[in-house]
Amino acid sequence: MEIGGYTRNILYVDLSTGNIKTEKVSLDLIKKFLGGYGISVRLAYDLIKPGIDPLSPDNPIIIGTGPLTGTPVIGAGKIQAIYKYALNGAIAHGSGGGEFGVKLKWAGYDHLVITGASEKPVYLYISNDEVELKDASHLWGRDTYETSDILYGEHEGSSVITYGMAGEKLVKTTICFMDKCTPIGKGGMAAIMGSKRLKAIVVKGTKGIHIVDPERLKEIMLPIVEACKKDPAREKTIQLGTMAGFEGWVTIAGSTRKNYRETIPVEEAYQLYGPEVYLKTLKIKRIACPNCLVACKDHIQIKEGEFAGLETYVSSIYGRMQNLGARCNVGSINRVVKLIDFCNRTSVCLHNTSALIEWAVDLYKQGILTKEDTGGLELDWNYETTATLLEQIAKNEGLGAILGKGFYGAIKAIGRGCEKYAVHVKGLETLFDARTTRLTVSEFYEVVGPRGGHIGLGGLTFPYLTRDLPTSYFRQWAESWGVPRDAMERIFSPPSKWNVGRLTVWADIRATIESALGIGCTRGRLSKYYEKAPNGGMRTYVEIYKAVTGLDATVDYFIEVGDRICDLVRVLNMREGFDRKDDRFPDVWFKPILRHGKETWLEDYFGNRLTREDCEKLLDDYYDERGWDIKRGVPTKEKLIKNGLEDIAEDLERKGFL
Amino acid sequence: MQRKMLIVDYEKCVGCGFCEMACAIQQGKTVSSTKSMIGLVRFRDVGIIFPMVCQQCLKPLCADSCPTGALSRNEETGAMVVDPDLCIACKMCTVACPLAGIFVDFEVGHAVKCNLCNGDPLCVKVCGYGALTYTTLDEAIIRLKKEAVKKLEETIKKIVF
Repeated sequence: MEIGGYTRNILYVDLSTGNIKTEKVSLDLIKKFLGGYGISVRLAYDLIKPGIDPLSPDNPIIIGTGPLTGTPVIGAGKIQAIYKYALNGAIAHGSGGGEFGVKLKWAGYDHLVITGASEKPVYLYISNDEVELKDASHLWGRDTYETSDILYGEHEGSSVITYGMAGEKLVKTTICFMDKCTPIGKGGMAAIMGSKRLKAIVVKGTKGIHIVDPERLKEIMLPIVEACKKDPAREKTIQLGTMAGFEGWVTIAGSTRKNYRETIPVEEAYQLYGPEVYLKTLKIKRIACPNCLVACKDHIQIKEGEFAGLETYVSSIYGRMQNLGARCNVGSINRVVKLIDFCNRTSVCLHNTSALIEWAVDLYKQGILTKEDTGGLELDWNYETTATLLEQIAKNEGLGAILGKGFYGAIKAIGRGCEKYAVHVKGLETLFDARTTRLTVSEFYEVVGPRGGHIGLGGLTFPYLTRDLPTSYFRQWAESWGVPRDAMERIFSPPSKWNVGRLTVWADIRATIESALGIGCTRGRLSKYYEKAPNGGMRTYVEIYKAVTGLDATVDYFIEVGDRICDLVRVLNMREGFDRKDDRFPDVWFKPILRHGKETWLEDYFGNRLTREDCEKLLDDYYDERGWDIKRGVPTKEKLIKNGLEDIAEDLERKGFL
Repeated sequence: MQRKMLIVDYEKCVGCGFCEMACAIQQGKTVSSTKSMIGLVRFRDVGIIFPMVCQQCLKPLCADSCPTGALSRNEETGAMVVDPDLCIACKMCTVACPLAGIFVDFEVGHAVKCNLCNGDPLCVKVCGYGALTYTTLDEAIIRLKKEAVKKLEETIKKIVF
């Protein structure tokens, strides 16, 4: 049978023994989990033993490309890495959309599984059938950019995932970088690779991938590209990149500061960090992930003023403006860029640490942290504090050594009631504040998602930065993404409104399918182009899948697989002890925030105030929509069996998890 | 009717590589950069990305260097095309071409190059950034002049204000 899209190879690399082998993916596994993220999650069930130490050789890194990765489909460069987070012990994903996935696929592998730990620093080199662990002693101690450049020099045309010294020092608030500008590996993947003394993964691939029906694929793709090019907002997207979203962040979302007490004044935000300053101060060359129509990455250089001449790379720059600009109040776009460069080079996760620093300053102001804790340093929301603490975090010393453990570790180390001021879900900072944006899917998913706070799988940023879209918009969304009729009735009840708990389930299923197919954007920016396709988003995915792979598929089948993967992800985390008690809305969401100077409370999308009890009811709805046990917030045995996971249900029952 | 040409504006290229992958499926059923007639050259250390593709030279060195006369111009599209029956895969054309716009595909056994998709290039259709355009000389000149004026305007603003 002619099958396209899949190479059907899993590459296993054991760093402890140096063993390298490939295994075939069975058609059964493909049918059940589709590929990419889906198959990786199934592999994780066997490979990640419950209760392991994330920084031990036992923690595998499972990287998955999907059947559409490396094919001429919009956004077909997506990979997901799965591992146990060093930061909070959750089992979740790190996403990246650069060239790495395409090259891995073209080298002949759907999945890459790295286990064990090496004694000496090594890097993994993959070039088609040539797979080798090479000495990395010349790279150890070097930063992300230096390491990448050396490896490009040694291996022409390669794609590189690596990290800087903070990962080597096993700092938990770290992240890896793909080809200098794509962050991948939330929750401390750099520390996990550091613990394995695996400095980098280098991949070259020239075998390519087979496509069953290229003509049909063209027929489906071209109208979507055409529509995107005709979009009236196209010019703005090309000119500003992600800074086109700046307005939404500061006016609608309202970038928070002073540890979630207020939003940054709009005028101040524009003046210091806005699109005009961005265009004026920085020399910009935009960079895109494979086949992406957004190009969210920038190669930037400071043209004038402080740090003039500094050159660096950045992904989604407007988000960095929010974190370093608003949260840490560093004072200028030049300083934001300086700190972005520092974080990228050392591989300190900018999102994790800016939230932790914001919190530490608050603790200092509350008198919980004193000069004794800070080594004599006066803490404030400013550039000096931020730069100093980032450096300490990267070096794993002083107060930085405590903050670098993440919220869970730092709360334990500091004590003294500091948790009262910590805003996080499952130990990860929240990126969206539900009080400023209202409780939409983005914020709800921060509470229920496996990784904890921050952005969800496939950018569950929906409805992104809006406060007043009509219900008809959400109905069209649901129709486009194949939400079944019975679910529609539950979501839109009463018909004039939508239930955020229930809608989140379907947004997650949509993102999960994209991740299994190996397409999409980490921030969900590409889905809108598919969403508007004449046949609707999900049917378009199905048609693309059929043209590429030659395998049969339907919308119902995709939804079934998506739901199955979601259940299994929850099961992985249930085994680690996560359940309803961890899906906790941050306390601060039930206090007022000063949004553009006005006291604002948590509201639903329709402007009705929400209490914790209301939110708990929405949580009931979420679990109910999932078909899970509402009390525990985990899949029931019946649901797993219904979803074709009999073997898993049996195993869980035998081990006392169900 | 004026003949159209494929124009590359590397400053607008963001390196998404959609052109490369799309081109590959115009040639067959395998997607790979080695099957693509257009190729992105990345200088990662300095951050420059350059889409390289045959420019259909008016005085084509590929044809001059070909000992069997396998390269000729398609008068309708203006593209230089390879006759697979005449090509002996000696690779002289690949040496002669100043733009690396032609190479030998060992799997098919002859030289391959961009044929402008017979006058309807797919790479241009999938480029979302205006880095690739397929246009007549007239239109190209007008566009270039417009862009030059815009740059001048910026310069004048700097001087006057």
